[in-house]
Amino acid sequence: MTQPAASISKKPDLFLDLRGEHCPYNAIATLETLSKMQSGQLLEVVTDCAQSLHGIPEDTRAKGYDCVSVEQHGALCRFLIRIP
Amino acid sequence: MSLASFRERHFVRFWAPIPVLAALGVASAYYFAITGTFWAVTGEFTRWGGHIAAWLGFEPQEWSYFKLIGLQGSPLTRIDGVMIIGMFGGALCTALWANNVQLRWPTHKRRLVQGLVGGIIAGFGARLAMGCNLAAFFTGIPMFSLHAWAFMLATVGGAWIGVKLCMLPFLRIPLRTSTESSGLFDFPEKVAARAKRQAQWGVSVAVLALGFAAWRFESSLTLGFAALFGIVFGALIERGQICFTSAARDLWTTGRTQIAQGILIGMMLACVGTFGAIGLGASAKIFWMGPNAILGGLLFGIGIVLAGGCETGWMYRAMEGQVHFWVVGVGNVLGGTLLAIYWDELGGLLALPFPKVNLLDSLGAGTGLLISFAGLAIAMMLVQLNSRRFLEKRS
Repeated sequence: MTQPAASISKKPDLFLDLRGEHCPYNAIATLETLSKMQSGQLLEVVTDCAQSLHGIPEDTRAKGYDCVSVEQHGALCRFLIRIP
Repeated sequence: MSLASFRERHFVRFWAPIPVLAALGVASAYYFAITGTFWAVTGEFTRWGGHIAAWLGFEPQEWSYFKLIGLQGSPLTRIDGVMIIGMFGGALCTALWANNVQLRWPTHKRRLVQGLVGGIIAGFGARLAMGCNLAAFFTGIPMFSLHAWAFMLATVGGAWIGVKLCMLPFLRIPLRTSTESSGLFDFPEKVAARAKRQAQWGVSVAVLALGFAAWRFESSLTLGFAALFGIVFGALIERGQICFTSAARDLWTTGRTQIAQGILIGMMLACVGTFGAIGLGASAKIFWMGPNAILGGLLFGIGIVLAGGCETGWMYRAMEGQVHFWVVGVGNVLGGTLLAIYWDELGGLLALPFPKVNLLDSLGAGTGLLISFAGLAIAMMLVQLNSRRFLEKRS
């Protein structure tokens, strides 16, 4: 699921490390973190539970955030989410 | 297409859950037609608990619960037993091909306790209702057993309680955020080297799993097919990262719809197949429509949400090396065994006095099928309507 968006040259403003957490905590923690960020900022989320590959993109998009990149690196999943 | 890009596309990237659930629905109906039993796991987990009890000097073969579900033979000679071994093999193999096997520790010891307690509650509830997310839900509704409907609805209710419990402050671990890059993705060549090793291991596991199935075919056609189907089930749930817990829980947390809709579509497809098999003479597995199905579903819903995964969910995640889910699995076996110990009191009160309601018999075959489809269609509509509650509202 490597979709590195060419448009992302910007360095993320905040990094959220959710390794070791299972559902539903990683989706909820992501939404909580996003709600405290400002418009235009970029969040990087790292999880090590592949389940989040279904959850985080669906949940963030449903809330109106821009999930611009979803990547798999072995057992790690990396998400880049922009606040519109 | 080169081998590497073929692998990346089909064996590393996860598959869309809806088609996988549709395939699982069809495969589970074939499984029923061929083996005469439904795709189920917790009964077998409970039998493992029974074997352990026997090693410890107890006489579980005398317990009424094991007289009901049977404790003869070993996991190598029972249909459910070889199917489960196949599932572990299939899930491990595909996880290796995806370079997704790695020891992963929980963030906090509290999570392990949470997983164990959740696993015990889920195992206990599932066995009280005579099945988990499979036998009392995904493969129970296509048996046209009314108790599976009660269990499904109660599970969704239990999941609501589970979500409330999960959000209690002492179960929230402080978040690790930083404005500095983690540096976790700075060594792609290491990931690539590991991927190559894991692919080779994956081939070895596939050979072993198929060898196991071939060995079981020597014993009987049914056992051989059970092992083969197990491999397919395990591979499919891992490839699709199928999570029944998410389907029930996220109706309450974020309004997710995909997995829930996939499960409902899978059950519709399964209904057609099991309907055909029953028409040709296979006997449906019907259980008591008593308070046990409702109470069991509630406990199961609470347990799976606390644990973060149900009986099928922990199986493939345990293969991926997620230590948390080894603990959940142990909890499931413990919970099922506890229920077996207390079955005389609980079963006599909550299950045995109540009728086993077969929708095909009580409504007539055609109407029973139609009502089941209508019920599933209404459930799909409710899932979609529910998701609207979460739109526009940023938590």
